[in-house]
Order: sequence, then C-alpha cells, then structure tokens
Amino acid sequence: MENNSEIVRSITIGNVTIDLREPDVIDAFWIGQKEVYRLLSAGWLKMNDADRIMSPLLVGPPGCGKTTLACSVAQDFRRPIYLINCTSDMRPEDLLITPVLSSDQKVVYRASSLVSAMVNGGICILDEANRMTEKSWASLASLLDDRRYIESIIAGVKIAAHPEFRIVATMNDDSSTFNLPEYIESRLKPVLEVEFPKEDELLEIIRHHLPFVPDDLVVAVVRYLKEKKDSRSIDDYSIRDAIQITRYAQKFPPDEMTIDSIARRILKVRDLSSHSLRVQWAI
Amino acid sequence: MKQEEKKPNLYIIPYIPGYAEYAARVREEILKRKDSDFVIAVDLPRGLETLVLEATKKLPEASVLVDPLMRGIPIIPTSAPIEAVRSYLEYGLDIRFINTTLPVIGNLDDYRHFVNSCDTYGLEEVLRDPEKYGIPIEDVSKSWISSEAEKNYTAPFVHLPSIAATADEFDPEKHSSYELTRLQYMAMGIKELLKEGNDILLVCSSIHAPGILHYLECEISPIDDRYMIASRICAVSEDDMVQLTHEIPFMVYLYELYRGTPVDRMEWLRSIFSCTDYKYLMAGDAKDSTIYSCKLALTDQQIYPDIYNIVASAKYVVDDGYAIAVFDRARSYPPNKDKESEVSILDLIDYNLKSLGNTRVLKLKRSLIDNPGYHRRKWRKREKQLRRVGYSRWTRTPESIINEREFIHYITSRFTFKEPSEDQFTAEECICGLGEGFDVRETIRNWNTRKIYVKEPVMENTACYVMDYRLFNQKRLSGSAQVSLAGSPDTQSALDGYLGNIFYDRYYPWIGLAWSKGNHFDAAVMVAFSKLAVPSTQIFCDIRSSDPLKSAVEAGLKHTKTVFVFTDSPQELNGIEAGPDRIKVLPTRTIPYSVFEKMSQFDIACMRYDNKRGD
Repeated sequence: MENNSEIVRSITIGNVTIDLREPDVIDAFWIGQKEVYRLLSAGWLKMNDADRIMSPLLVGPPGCGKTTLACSVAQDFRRPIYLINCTSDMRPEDLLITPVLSSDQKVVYRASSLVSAMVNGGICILDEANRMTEKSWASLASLLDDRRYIESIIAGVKIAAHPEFRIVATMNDDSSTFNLPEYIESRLKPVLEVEFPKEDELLEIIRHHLPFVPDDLVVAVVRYLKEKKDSRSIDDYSIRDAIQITRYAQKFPPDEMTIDSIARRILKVRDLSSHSLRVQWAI
Repeated sequence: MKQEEKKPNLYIIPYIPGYAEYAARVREEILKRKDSDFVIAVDLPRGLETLVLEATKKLPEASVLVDPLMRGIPIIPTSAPIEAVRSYLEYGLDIRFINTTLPVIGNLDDYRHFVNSCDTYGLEEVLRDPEKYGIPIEDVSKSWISSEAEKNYTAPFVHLPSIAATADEFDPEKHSSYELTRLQYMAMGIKELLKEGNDILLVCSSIHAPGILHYLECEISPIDDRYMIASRICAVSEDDMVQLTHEIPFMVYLYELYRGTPVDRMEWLRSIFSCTDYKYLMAGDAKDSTIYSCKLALTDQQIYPDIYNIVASAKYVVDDGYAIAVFDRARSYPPNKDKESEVSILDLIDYNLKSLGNTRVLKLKRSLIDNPGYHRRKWRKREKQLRRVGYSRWTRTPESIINEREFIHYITSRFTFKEPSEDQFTAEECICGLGEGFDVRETIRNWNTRKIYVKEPVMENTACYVMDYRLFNQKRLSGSAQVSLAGSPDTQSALDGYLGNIFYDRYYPWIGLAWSKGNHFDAAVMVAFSKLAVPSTQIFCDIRSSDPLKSAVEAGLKHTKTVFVFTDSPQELNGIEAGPDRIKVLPTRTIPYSVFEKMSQFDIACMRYDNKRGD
C-alpha cells in the first residue's frame, strides 16, 4: 500500500457519505534499542487470518522517542500512517466522525485520522493518549477488542476496521495526564517501556538529526549533559533537549557561547558548585 | 540438503541440540528399525562411552559431562544423541561414538602443550591469544572468534525437524582446523562402520552433517587420537537447568513425562502460561501472553518461543510479577529439585565452543507488596505518586459522604454567584448573534424546522464557601464557647488530636483543616468550591494552621471570584485585600444548625491504594 492512489478517500455506508483524511507523510528513523523495536513489531504481527492484531501501548518519559519508534516501525510495515495528537478537550466525535457544514449549506461528514486508518488498513498512532478523557476512550472500546469496529452516533453508522488496521497509543507518565480507565488498560497490550538511550546511541541520534554539526560539539554536549545529570544539577533531560542544545550551540562561534550557557537557556540547571557560576554569563 | 540423505546404508538424522522434537524424531526412527540390523552412530566423543552410559542411566535426573577445557555435554532427555543412547540401553542395539575430544589437530606435542596451557591459564585466556602460548592461531582462534560472533545466533525453524536449517554446501574455508579435524574424524568413523557392511543411522548435529558428507567423498589422513581428554559427571541444580540447554527446562520435564508420545509444544506452552500461581491474572491474560510469545518467536525467526520470549511476553502483556511466576514455572525441572550444581554451568561451552544455554538477559522486578487489591501497573503508579506528592487517600464512611451531598445541595441552592460557563453550553435558536458558535448537532436534529441553533453558555455557580467550625466544634464537644487554638498542632484544646490538612474530591472539591483522632475527624475550617480548575490535591496545603480562616479565604479568592464566609470571628479577616463584592461574610447561624453540623465532623473507613479521585 505504498502507492497513494490506493488510498480510499471516501466511503458510503447506506446513504451516508464520509470523507476520509489523507495519511501523514512521516520520515522517522529509529536508532538503538533494537529490543523494544522488536517487541513493537511483534505486537503488530498477524500470524494468520484468525489472529487478532494487538494494540500496544508505549510508555516512557517525555522526549525519549515513543512517537519516533511508533512511526519508524509503522514505516517498516509499509502501511499508510495516521498520527493523532490527543488533547484533554478531545470529544468522541473528534476521534470518530464530525459533521461539518459545507459551502453549499449541506451537512458533510468528515472522518478523523483514526477512522481513515481503519478504512484504509493503515496504522493509527494515538500520541499522548492519556490526555484524553474517559469519555473519548469509551468510544474506542469496541475497536480495541475482538469486535474491531466503531460506531458514530452522529453519522448513524458502524464502521468495521480493515483486517490490516493497526493502532498504537503513546503516553507520558506525568501529573498532567489522566489515568487510563481500567477497561481500556485491559485492551492495550503489550505495554512497552521506551527507555532513554545509552550514551553511544544518543550520540548517533544527534548525529543523524544534525549531520552538519561537528562531531566534537556533539560529543561535548552529550558529555556535559551526562555530567550534569550525574551531579544532579539537572533532574532529567530528553533526546529533544540534547538535540536542541546542540542545534543552538552550532549557531554560535565556540568562543562566544559555552555549552553551559546554552544549556541553561533550554534546561533548568541547578548551580551546585561555584565553578558553574563562572560560565553563566558568557555573553 | 534433504533431511535424510541416502548414502548406501547410511541414514542421517540432523538435530539441533536440546530440542524435544529432534529427540522424539530420533526415537521414532530407531523404533521403526529396531528389528533390523543396523548401527546407531552418534556425534559424541569416543572415549566417553562409559561416562555417557553411566549418566544416561540416571535420567531423568539431568547432569553434564565436563572436561578440563570446560566443554560440556548435557545429559538431558531432550538431547537427540542421548535419546539414541537411551534407546540403545532399552533395546540392546549397537551404538558407536564417532566424535573426538581433541581440541587441535595432528601434532601431539602441540596438543599436550595446549592442554597444559589451558590447565594453567584457562581456556578463554589461551583462546584469546593462542600465539602467546605458542599455539598456531589458525588452529583454534577461528572457532572461538566465530562462536563469539554467533553468540546470539539462533538457528531458524529450530522446532521443525523436517526442515531444520543446514548449509547447502560445505565450504572448508569457513571452518577452523579444530572443526575440520573433528569433521574428518567423524567421517573416518563412518567409513569404518560402512566397511563393516551394516546399515548406519547417524544422529549428528545439523552443523556437522554437511561436513561429514563432504569428507565421506574425500581421502582422509589418519588422525592421532591416542590422547583423550577425560571428563567427569557433574550434577546440575534445578536453577541451572536454564543455562544447560536452549530447550525450556519444563518442556524437558514434560518430554520425559510423555516420552513416546508426539511432542505437543503448543499445549505445553499454554500450560506454562496458565498454570502459574500468580494471583492477579485476569481473564484473557494467559491467552494473550501465549499469542504474543509466538509473535516474538517469529521476530527471532523461530516457530515457537524460547524461555526468553516466553518471559518477555508475560512481562509486557501482564507485569513483572507474572513474568517471574512464568519464569519459575518454565525453568522448573522437578527431577533435579534437590540437586546442587557441582560446576559453574554458566562457564561451560559445547564442543563447537558455543554457549550451552540461553545468554539473553531480561530485567524483572519482584514486588515486595502483596495486597490483593493492588496489582499490575497500579503498584508502579502508586509508588511514583506517593513519592511525588506525599499524601494518602482514604475512603470516608457512607454517612459522611451523604452529609456532604446534602450540605452542598443546601448551600449551593441558597448562596450562589453565577457566571457564564466556559465549557458548558446550551442550544438556543439563533435569533440574533452567533453566541458561541453554531450547534451543529441541534441544527441537524431540527433540520425539518429549518432553524439554526447556536451555543449559549450556561450560567453556572462559581462561588466558594468557607465554613469556620472552630467555635462550633468547641461548643459541641466541651460546652465552652471559648475560642481555643487557631490551630497549632502542639496546642492543647478540648478537641485534642492532630491538626492537619485534608481534601475531598469525590463530588465537589474541598480543602480544609481538621483535627484527627484515630478514624474520626473534627473540622476546623473547611472550604468548598463549586468549580475548581485545579485538583484539590494541588492546593489543600495552602491553608495554614497559624491563621486558618484568613488563609482559607485567600485560597478561595485565588481560585474563584466570590467567596461566602460563614464565621463568628470576622475580625480575623482584617487585612485581606479584596473588594466587598468578592467576599461576603455571614454568621454561622445563617445556615440552619441541622445543615451546618453535617460537615463539622466525619469518619474514615479505610486507606486506598490507588490515586483515583474520590475522597
């Protein structure tokens, strides 16, 4: 299903026509942590026609690569990819089908990325899924178990998922999120923890994202972050932070800004020794 | 290469070491032929016949033959050559060992020097740098290097004897002198047996089969095998069985129990997942774990999962506790239950210089809390929650909860401050103005009327209520109207007990200060919100025991526009900077006694182990 011309753009059920969305264009590249890659791939394998594809859940700290992992594995399966960023004000109809008024004053039904993935046999990635309320999750209960369909009250239709449809949810585990309802937790399996990469993997990740940056700067940034983390000057940092610091540092000549001063503009760095004060105001 | 290459009178059964299907296949072939004249040839080292027979007679008790170079031969029921030896013992057939214990070729001086070096410095040390010990590097290093590179290699289709992986063509360049010598030696042994004129059933590893066939067609120089390395039989503990073989130890046990019947690996796998003693398994968990383990096996290019994939599946589908229970079951081998290992099994290698058993590592955490209501991932969530916020949740008694509802119903119906809601709307017909936007649902519902409906915000009560119970409770409990403590926990009072911050969030968000004595609480100052944008847990510590009333009103003003204060000590509010339209101070008698006293005290029932809202 690599050819976009095979993508279905609208379906008609009974006398209800539903417009579908275009898949997202994603170019993700996964580095390191081969085991979690294998675990996610296994969750999406289908052994035979009677087998049910699992609905994995990726958990981990912010910025550790959950979405990248999901996109990367999804690319390997060569199915259209649909990414949904979940929010706390998401309603069930936002996840399913929304009626809109067209320019010619007719009601038109627009499917969400999830429904579009269901129809086209694509892969739906629910990003930050635990920001959704229980009401939104309830509308997905029938999709995540053996029934594999959703029901839209607004459009008055039931839509069954394509046999090749896959879904994955990613979530952070912080205080701004809701608890998943238990009946949803029991449907999201396996639960895979994405850990922060090791030092050599982080180096490779930064090099991949910033190929134009000199290697010594990349190594210096990673070492700096490791030292600060070990000395508890910073609580935690994400891959995103490391890339941002390196990208920002690259924009200044080395004698103008130190890595420490750049990092302080991106992270919260606690001063635990007098030495760090010396470099605070390099400009 | 086909499964059974038919040389004149030669039948080969390749096997992958340790797997039950191959042992069953060997037994089946032997039984098919037991009434005919044939010789069983196995790729076990010559010179070890007595020891192998002695250890085999002890089966099902597993053991291992170990030589000074730490090479081991597992004696387990699912080992194909050992199954052949058992069949020989049971049916009195002819059996020959055709392998050799020699680690290097030809020159015996080199060989003796090699053994002496290994005895002194250790095999691994010698193999790392053979030249340092005067041993030609091409003799042994290739085997060691190739085995290091293939440590994680698992042969594909390991469970299918009919299509077990074998090399199509044998290339001598890809093997070390060590391996070539042994292959030639085995081929020489087969040739000698062929000369005797009997049928031969050769049971050999799939790694050896192509090489043996290759050298059967070649001229082989005689190989000096006068010096044999002696081995000894070592006992193996039940815990070490998982390192002794790639096969799952529990399946080795099941093979022994059901020996002679077809291997039903899928059924054995289900029994591992479903027959653990894990208390918190939910319906469908065992089935989902079984299915996921098979999918993990496919990603490893196997048909059925090994012990690593079985345990990983249990961990990621359920949790670590279940994974530990599954691992305990999978690695159990009751015949060796009371045995202690007489050698470090982890240090052993096979005669091809590869590890005997599993080498992958999976981290599991054993929970120290055993609470029936507290399982799965909730344990991790709670642990994180408690570490982060430092509060605990308790359930109130049903009477306390009913009192709250009645109180709130009374007070919100009589003392209100209404504002347009930000998230609740009602549908009104569009007469003029668009309000908060079109209400598409209502418009479609009433499509036949040709009217358009728009959203209008609902007016909702956003007031906050502060109740000062200090005097009230003082009077109730001691009969005295004297105001005691504003609330230092150290001050003596008629109420006694410990003064602490509390919160509710079951129906309405509340925060407050209360004296606690065991399971009973007497309120000091309570604040009820009609609507609160943040969880009560984030603000309940804002009320200070040094000036409870003032801090309670300040907390209310921070989160709402209007605060109703019911107190008999209004002088304590001096100094609060807020307009009269924001604070309305009323005496406590404004609320009827029977209603006011509902929130003056409450009791708790039990501690909760989750962090869901609700008390």
